[in-house]
Amino acid sequence: MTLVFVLPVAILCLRSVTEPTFGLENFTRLLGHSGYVDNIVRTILISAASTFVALIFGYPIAYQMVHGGVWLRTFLTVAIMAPYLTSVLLRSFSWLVILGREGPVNKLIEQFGLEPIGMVFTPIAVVVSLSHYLLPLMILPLAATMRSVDDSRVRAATSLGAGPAQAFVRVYLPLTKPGIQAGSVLCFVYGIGAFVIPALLGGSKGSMLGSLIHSAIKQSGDYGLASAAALVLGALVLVIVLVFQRLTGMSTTELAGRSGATVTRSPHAKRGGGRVLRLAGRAAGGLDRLGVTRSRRLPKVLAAALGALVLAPQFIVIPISFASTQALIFPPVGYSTQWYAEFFTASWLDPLAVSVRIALLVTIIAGVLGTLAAMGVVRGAVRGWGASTSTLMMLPLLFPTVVAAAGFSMEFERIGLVDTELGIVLAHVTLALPFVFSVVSAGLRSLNPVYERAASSLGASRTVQLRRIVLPLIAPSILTAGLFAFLTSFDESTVAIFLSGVHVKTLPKRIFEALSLETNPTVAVIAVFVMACAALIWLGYALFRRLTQISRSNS
Amino acid sequence: MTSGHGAIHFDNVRKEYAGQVAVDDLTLTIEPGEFFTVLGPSGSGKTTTLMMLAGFTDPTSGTIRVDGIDIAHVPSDKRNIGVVFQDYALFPHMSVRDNLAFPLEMRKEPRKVIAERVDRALALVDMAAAADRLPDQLSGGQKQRIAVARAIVFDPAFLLMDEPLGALDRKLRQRLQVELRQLQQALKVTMVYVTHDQEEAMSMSDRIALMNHGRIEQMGTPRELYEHPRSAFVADFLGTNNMFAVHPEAPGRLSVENGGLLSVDDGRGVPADASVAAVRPERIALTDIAAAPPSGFSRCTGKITHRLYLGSHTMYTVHSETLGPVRVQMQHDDGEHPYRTGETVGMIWRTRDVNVFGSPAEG
Amino acid sequence: MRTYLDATRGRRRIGAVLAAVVVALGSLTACSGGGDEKGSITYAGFGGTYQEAVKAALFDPYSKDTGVKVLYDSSGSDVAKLVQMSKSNSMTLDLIDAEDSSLAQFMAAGVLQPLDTKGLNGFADPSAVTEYSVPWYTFSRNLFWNKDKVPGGLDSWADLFDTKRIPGKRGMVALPWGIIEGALIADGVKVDQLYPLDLDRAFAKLDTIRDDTVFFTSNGDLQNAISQGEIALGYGNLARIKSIAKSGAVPLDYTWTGAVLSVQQLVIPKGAPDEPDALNAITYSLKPEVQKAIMDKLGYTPSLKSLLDGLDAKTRADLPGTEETASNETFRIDVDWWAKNGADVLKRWQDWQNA
Repeated sequence: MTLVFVLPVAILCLRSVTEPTFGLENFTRLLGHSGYVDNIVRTILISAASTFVALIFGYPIAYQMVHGGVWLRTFLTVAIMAPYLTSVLLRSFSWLVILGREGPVNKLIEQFGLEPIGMVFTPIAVVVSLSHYLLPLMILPLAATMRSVDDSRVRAATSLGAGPAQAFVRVYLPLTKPGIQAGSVLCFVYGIGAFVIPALLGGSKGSMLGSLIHSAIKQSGDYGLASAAALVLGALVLVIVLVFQRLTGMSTTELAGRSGATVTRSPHAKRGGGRVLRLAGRAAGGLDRLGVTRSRRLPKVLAAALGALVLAPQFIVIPISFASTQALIFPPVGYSTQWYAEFFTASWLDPLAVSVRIALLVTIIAGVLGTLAAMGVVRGAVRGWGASTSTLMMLPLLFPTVVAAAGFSMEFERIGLVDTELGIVLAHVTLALPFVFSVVSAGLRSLNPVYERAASSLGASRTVQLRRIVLPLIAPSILTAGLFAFLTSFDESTVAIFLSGVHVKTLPKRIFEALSLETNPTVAVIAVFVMACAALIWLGYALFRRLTQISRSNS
Repeated sequence: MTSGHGAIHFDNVRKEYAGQVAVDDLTLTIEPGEFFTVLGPSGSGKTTTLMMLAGFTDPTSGTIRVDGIDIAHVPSDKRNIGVVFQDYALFPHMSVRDNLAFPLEMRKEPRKVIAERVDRALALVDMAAAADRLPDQLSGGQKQRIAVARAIVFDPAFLLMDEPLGALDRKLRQRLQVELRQLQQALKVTMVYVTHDQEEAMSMSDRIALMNHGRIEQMGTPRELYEHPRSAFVADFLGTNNMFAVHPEAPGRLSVENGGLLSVDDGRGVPADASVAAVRPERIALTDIAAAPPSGFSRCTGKITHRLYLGSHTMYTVHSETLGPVRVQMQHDDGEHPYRTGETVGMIWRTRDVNVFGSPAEG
Repeated sequence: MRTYLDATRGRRRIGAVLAAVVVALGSLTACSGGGDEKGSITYAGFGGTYQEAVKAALFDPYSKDTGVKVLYDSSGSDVAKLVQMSKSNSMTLDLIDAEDSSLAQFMAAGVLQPLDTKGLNGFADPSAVTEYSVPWYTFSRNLFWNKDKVPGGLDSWADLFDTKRIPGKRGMVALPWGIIEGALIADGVKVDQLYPLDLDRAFAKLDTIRDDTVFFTSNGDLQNAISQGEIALGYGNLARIKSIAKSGAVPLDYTWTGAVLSVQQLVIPKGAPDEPDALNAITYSLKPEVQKAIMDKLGYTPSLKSLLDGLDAKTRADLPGTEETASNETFRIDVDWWAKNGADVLKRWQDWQNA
């Protein structure tokens, strides 16, 4: 199954040196031309800037998600997860409206009598949108690390005479360093592989490697250049991950399984920045003496405000969806429900049906394969294979989707799988597999092997044990994994944009078209529907949990 | 549901994990119908012994035979052993009835037979009312009974229990000890019982194998092990003992490190390398300081430093010039004892109650 | 023994699941292959409002009359891509909507199917018909501006390049033909002395507006950006400009001065899956009512002489290629030059774009 993923990458390698003629021509063109070098540098800079913004926003939010009160915690979780569940396409759409010359941000600037700023089609829009997109990836490892920090250590620092800010800078901050590292690397890696955001918001000045690959393949058919660019991107990611591993001793699997495990400091981690910390600590001490940091409310208000800021772009689509004109202006000139009517036409419902069908197939295939693989690795006889298989299975999580998509699209074109449901299903399966594998593996690992022993002692063979004992017991994990797989496929835009065409058009591809070829507020309607669905599922889940709690306490 | 079979033989069984010896040269025989307990502290190799017997792990060398048949290469699901696990391992997604039916389904019993035998097993452990509940809805004691019922419902060659009462509180544990023993005797089934709890082992077993560092320290009836421990480890592990570091002085006499002398019953054979002597606290009695010891008794004096009232008895700590601190356990047979802390008293014990051991094995 | 039976039973069940998956996959490929059955053609146009107009004017009536289904692709201007597709024998398109410079490049690459055009006549400009193509209208790309942002408007290509006098974001579609010529005109080259194009001079001139210009990958992108007020002035397809002006999103105006004229042709690529139906569609596009509808919806000039002759002067004054608009330094691209040099220019253009 890894073959499906490795193959396109191998083909990229081959194509990069053979198209149009054999040689390193494409690489010299890519690395020799100042324009492409600029693009690579820009890709790195934009990604670094977005990572930094995500860290600045993410840290206070993560802090309150761990240490704040129940209401604040819930609010922040919703604020972070809601955008996470919304397609990156829809979020790009929101930013297009918000940052636009006629958008609310510029309206505000004009209120102050200033000249409006052109942000869309510049790196500004890309950084804003990308950091918004990366924020959850930053917050999850941060929060996981913060949860593992022992409060008593900060209290100890305070008892030793450090003011709150000083204690924070000298004690808490260093303790959360592993989370900062993991979050930053994740954000950076996902950032440099970004494709949809620069393609929609970057214009030529905010173009990144991802969008370069796309236009090279889709517009100019320049497969050699696309392959070379994809390989450079892939190599960048590899280098970053390797350097990170070297510096922190954290494994790829750990990094890829970001949301779950607690990230802890490895003993080999380099200790650096001592002087910086001391200086910062002195500055913080000064703040403490001024008494600014005594307020308990300030950090909470800050985090709540940041959370609201993160959530707000979600809601801009509601008025847009009722716009009477085709222009994406906020607030709209007039109101109508025509875009809702538009959604219920074949132009949108057909792609929706395609997406659902593909996602279901992906769920089944990835579910079966991923579960089998997880069983093989966690409970299998091939023990020696365990670690390497895990790494292989997790690799696609860190590897830029756009690189894989480029590989798929070139290879599938040759064998006639471009623009077929089968092609998209295959590509999506490779993307969904790691999720299924990691979720089911975690479920299996937490399952006490004593049940299998008990079954064995009662006369059940290995097959019967798996079928009658293990499968039912890890069913919740498999269901969760299936849901992940479904969402991964349903929400997936990069592969779909590369691989779908005229005959097969998924909903994200249709949205991408609507955003790039048309001015179409129907996209806002979809965003509203998605939000409504997410809210319903959330409510349903909360209700379900409440009910099961009641029934459990009754029995 | 009776079985006259169930003889188990371990011959020179050895198990290594990554070069570490877990069980070393284990040879033992368990008779049909016997209640055999493997006792030992954690890490003594008792769990490994159980895992090998159940077929969850293979011995590195040696053979294990059940009723004369080598089971080394029989997978665990074909061994026909009823296992009760530490945390019961009841399948949480199946009702009690389904849990019990599971082994019978594996044996392709007809549906009617299954229903009958499940009902019979449930009745046997007095749990018929709980048939349709899920394991999570049962108390610890109930789960334990169901686990036992599941282990016996398919009429296994023998029963294997791994600390089956470990998770229960003391009262319940004692009641279930009795029930388990009665059940085993009623079924006449061979029982291999693994525990670290010496009281449990003593109260239930026909025979005990006390393991330490992968070897059997001593094997025998509870009385043999208690009364005649063959090593300081055994003496210390079962019950409590006053242990004195000694070396041989003269026939029948050992010198204690503090300078005193200890008489021993020479007839029981004092090893030449005698280094430890042990006397159980309940075998020592306090007397007036002036009282002379009866014949066959040894005597010593000391000052009471602690006095611990424990309901059925009182535990005294007496500091003796010659022996050092000595613990003495006195039953409350005839009301309260007259001895007070700080008082100087006499202590007497039968000379034959002194057990003497050679140098302890290394480690 | 029993357990082995269990095992085989389990295996059989897994086999059944796998079989189900295979069947599902099989039906999938069958489904997706269904599009290529007789009775459906795939048309490569440019998406967005243009596609809607073409669909309404040509393909909706065509499908209704013939029963042939039409699928829409939006890669009509991706010349290199289409050539690539044809060369790798993976052509999935039946009908391509090509402007004359694309046509020249297709012809140079030899990827087009010769057409039997004998029966077709009545063209206003019969010389536009080639062995491989049928002209169906004449269109133009014009300089445009947002009246709120550029109150004075534009008078020439030089104005577009004068970022000091006329500040504001420029917007264009990232296709070099027309823009290279425009840069040279802005730099002082006479319209009749453009060819052979002095590329170094053109790119040097383009460098001067690089920081003030957004190049879009599609007409739709450009249209979006103009509608949202991101773009103050630029150069773009007239139909899109008119569509925005009509929608009222922003006040947009355009000039005929410096407009680039092009004949839009319908072509069939070699290896097209359904050539007969595609040819039918081409013939259909020359029906007077279709030609009229295209003019009404896109604001472009029909290629039928009869229709063109019947128009009043007012209508003609706003159509590309008529005498009424031709006076204003409008020009045509030298398609032969582009056919010869197109691929090299494209590569240089792409490199410049990414710089």
